Amino acid sequence: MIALVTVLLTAIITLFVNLVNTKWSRPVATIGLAIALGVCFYDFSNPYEDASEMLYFSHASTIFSGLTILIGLILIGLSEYSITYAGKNRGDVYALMLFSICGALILFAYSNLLMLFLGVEILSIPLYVLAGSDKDNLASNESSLKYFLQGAFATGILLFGIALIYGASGSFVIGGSKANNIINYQLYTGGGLTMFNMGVFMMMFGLAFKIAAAPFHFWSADVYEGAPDLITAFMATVVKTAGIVAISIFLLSIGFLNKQWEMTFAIMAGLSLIVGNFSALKQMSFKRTLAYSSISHAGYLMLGITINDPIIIPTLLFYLLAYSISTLVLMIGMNWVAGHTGKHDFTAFNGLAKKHPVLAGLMAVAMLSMAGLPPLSGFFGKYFIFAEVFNHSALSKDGGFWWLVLVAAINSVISIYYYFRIIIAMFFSPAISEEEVPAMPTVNLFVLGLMCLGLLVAPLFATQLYGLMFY
Amino acid sequence: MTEVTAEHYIILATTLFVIGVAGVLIRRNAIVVLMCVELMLNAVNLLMVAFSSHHKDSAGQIFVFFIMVVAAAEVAVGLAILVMVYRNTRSTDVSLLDQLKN
Repeated sequence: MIALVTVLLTAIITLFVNLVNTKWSRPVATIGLAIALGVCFYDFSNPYEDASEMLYFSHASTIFSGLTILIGLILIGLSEYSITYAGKNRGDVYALMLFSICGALILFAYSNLLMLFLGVEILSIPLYVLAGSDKDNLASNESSLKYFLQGAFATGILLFGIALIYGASGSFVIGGSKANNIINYQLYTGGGLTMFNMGVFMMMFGLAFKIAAAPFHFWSADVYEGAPDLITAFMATVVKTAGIVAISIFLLSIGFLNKQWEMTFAIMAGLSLIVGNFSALKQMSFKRTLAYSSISHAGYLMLGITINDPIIIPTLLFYLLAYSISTLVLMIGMNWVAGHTGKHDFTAFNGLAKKHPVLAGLMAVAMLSMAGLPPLSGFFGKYFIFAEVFNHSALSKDGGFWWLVLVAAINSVISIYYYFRIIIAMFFSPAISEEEVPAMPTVNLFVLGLMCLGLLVAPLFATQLYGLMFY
Repeated sequence: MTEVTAEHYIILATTLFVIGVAGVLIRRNAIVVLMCVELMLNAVNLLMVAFSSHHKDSAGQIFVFFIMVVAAAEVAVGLAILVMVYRNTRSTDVSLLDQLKN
């Protein structure tokens, strides 16, 4: 809870500091986020439950908050060269990112559908602006308008779902033990169940849109490609994390009713995997490939959600950790190369390994983690999810979703093809030396190195991480 | 004379909502699309208030205030984005914006 307040205050202070001197806005935002990350440890030992049943910061939501704040810290801390387009308005970009993080923190801890709605909006509205923050770039404009129109549409549908759930149950409160929550409050009176199910369906439409899961993924490739690199990285990590956690909190809270939704989620997971991977195969632009690969990663996460059990939450956390860190390494590397060549194509990376072996090596490690090759976190993230779903289907009477695990495994093999294209371009293609890419600053390389090291060692601490969640 | 029940409101709100959805999907002018989104949100407001009265519970009406505030913020941001796009393209037609299709 205090972390949320810290991030909010940092955002406001950053806005004002920007008025005084633009140069200070990045250090202020970075320091504020670092403090918020420290405050998360305090929050962890003091879970907060709001008396008016709006927010509940459990251990799990504090850990997710920590992950999101860490992502924001890395992105803003290393952004010295990535948002030069904003000129004197850089501070506004940072402040909007911080506001957006506030929305994500609310989504990790909501226990009332009102807070779900507010969290989604606080997360999204700054992002509509951020996607268009490169004002003179037509691609950025287009991405912003598309994201806004489709995002507002999805919000409308999410709200209609909430209204129907309210109509069926007479309450907005979710969560197991409370007397007035949406499950055990006046439900099943006069067609209530139909209305409730319709509401859940429309809510899932709105939330699946936010995480870009198929068949609600149409906006994502265009928006991810057009938005500035830093913002694309933010959308691919923070928004996905927040959306997945929001969906799982909601589904876990409606408990037994979720049984009817398992098949819907299984189909959505399968579709996301197949659509994401097969569209990524034929892209020429690296950024667009990452956008489609993020759809397929939403598929793996949805696969985890199909089993209706709190046991999946730590597994999702580990997957999101591995996915976010490797996405950040790739996006920051891509931003450095594309910022100096002006292209996001695979050809822009040709021969990078000869000139900048360290950067190319780190990007390769992140790529292998995304592809899910064994010693790295990406592999263990997938393995844990597959294992949970497989165990669950072995125990259930109707066979569960073992076939979906099979689909996911085949898809993760297919994905290796397009992940290796960039490695081939970096290591085995001759350089097209028109624009010279300068060496990345040592500090940035060092942070990227630490992140890759994290990808290597994180599996060793997976058990401790799981222990913390249920502490 | 028939009594107006919650069902009538559900039908009215759903009709308004469907008109909004159809407008978003069919119309190509970004401003009209924005208006249709507003229509969707206001249909939800109507539904919330109807259910709130039906359940004799004030939470629904409080929710409506939040929807109004958020809708206002959303429109402010949306119109700013539209102005930005209009400056660069001299048009508010959504279908003109297809630069990003490969």
